[in-house]
Amino acid sequence: MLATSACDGMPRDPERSLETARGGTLRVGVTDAPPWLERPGGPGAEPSGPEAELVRSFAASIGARVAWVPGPLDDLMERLERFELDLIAAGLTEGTAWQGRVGLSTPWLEEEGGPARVLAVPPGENALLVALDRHILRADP
Amino acid sequence: MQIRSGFELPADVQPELRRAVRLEWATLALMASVVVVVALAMGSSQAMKAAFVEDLLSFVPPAAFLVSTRFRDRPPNEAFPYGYHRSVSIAFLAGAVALTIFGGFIAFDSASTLIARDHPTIGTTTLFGRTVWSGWVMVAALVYSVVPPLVLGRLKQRPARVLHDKTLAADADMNKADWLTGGAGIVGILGVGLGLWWADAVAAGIISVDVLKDGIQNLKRVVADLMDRRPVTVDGEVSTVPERARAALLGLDWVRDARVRLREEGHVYTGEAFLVTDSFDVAELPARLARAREVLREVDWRVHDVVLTVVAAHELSD
Repeated sequence: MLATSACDGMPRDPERSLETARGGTLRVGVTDAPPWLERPGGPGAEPSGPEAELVRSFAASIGARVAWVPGPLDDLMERLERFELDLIAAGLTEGTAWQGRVGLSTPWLEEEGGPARVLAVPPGENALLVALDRHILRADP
Repeated sequence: MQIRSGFELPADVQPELRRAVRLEWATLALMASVVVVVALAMGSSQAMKAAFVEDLLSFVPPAAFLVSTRFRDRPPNEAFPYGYHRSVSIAFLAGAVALTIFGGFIAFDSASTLIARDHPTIGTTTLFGRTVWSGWVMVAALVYSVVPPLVLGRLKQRPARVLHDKTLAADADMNKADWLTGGAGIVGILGVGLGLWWADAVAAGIISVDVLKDGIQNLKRVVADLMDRRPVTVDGEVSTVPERARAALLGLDWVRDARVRLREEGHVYTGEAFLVTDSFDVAELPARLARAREVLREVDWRVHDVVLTVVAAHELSD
C-alpha cells in the first residue's frame, strides 16, 4: 500500500497539464480519422468513433470536460509541443513521424497485422501520460 | 641481426596475472548483463543513453587487456625484432580515442537538449501485470549497473600495481568511477519524476564530463608512453628504477661512471646504459657486460633488454 501511494506522487508534470485539466478542461486536438474518429459537420457536433469515446472516458475519469480543437495535424502538433493542448486524437500510429517530439501513449488499439493506434500528449508531461496509459490499459486489458 | 630475447613474468607475479585475467573475464560477462539490462530499460532518457554508452565502453579496457596478454609476451622474430610489448599501448590508444569521442558526443547531445528545452517523455511499462512508471524500472536498472563495476574496480587495483599494467589500472579507475555515472543517472530520472524536465539532460552532461575526463586522461597517458617518456608507476609517480639501475651499475668495480636511459614498452622497461670504464683487457669485455646485464635484471623484473655501450668520459657530460 505504501509503495503504491509513493508511486502515485511520481512522476509529476513539468508544465502541470494533468493538474490543470483535473476538474477543469481537457484540451484535445482532433483531425478527421475515420473509422477511429469522425467529425460530423455543423456547429456543436461532437466527434464520434472509438477514439473519441476513449478520450471522453479518460476525461470523465479525471473529472474534466473535453474541449475539442479541430485543425490540421501539423498545427495541432506544434500547439501540443507548446503545451497549448493536452491531447491529440487523430488516428495516430506508433510509427508516427512526430514520435520523439511529443509523447505517445500506450496503444489503445492493436489489430492483427495492422499498426498500433496511439494518442499524443505534450512532451515530458509524464503524469498525464501515466494517467492516460493506466486508463487505456484498464479499459482494454 | 641481434634480436631481443623473449620475456617471461617472474614466478611470484604470475598468480596476479592469472587473477587479473579472471577478473577481466568476469568484467566482460557482468558488464554484458549490465548493458542488456540498461538497454531494455533505456526508453527516451538521455541519462540512460549516456550510462549505456559508458557501460558499453567499459568493455574496451578488459578486451584490450585480454588481447594484449596473448600478444605481448610473444617472442621477437625477424619481422618484429623488438617483440610485441607495444601491442598494449596500441590497444589502449584505440580505447582512449573511442572514450574521448563518445564523451564529447554525449556532452554535445545533452547541451543541445538543454538549449532546445526538450522535455523527456517517460511513459509506463507493464511489469508482472502491473502498470508502473518506466522511471522506476530505469532506476532499478541503474542500481544494478553500479554494483559489478564497484566491486571489480576494487579487486583490480592490486594486480594492476603488482603487474605494472596500465590497461588494468585504467580499467580499475574507470570501474571505480562508474558509480558516479549510475548515481547521476538515478538522480536525473528521479528529478524528471519530480517534474524537473532538465534533470535528465544535466545528469547526462555530468556523465559525459566523466567519460571525457577518462578519455583525455588515458589519451595523455598512452601518448606519453608512445613518446618514450621516462617510466612512471601506475599511480603516475616517477619510477625509481632508472636511478637504481644507475646505482647498480656504479657498484661494479670496473665502472667509473654511468648513465641509464629507459622507456616503457607495455609493462617492461627497455633502453640503453652508457658506461665509462677504466681501461682493461678487451678480451674481458663480454664477461663484464654479461655481469652488468645480470646486475640490471636484479634491480627490477621490469628491466628487460637494456643495451650496454662503453663510451669515453667526455661523452657523458650534458
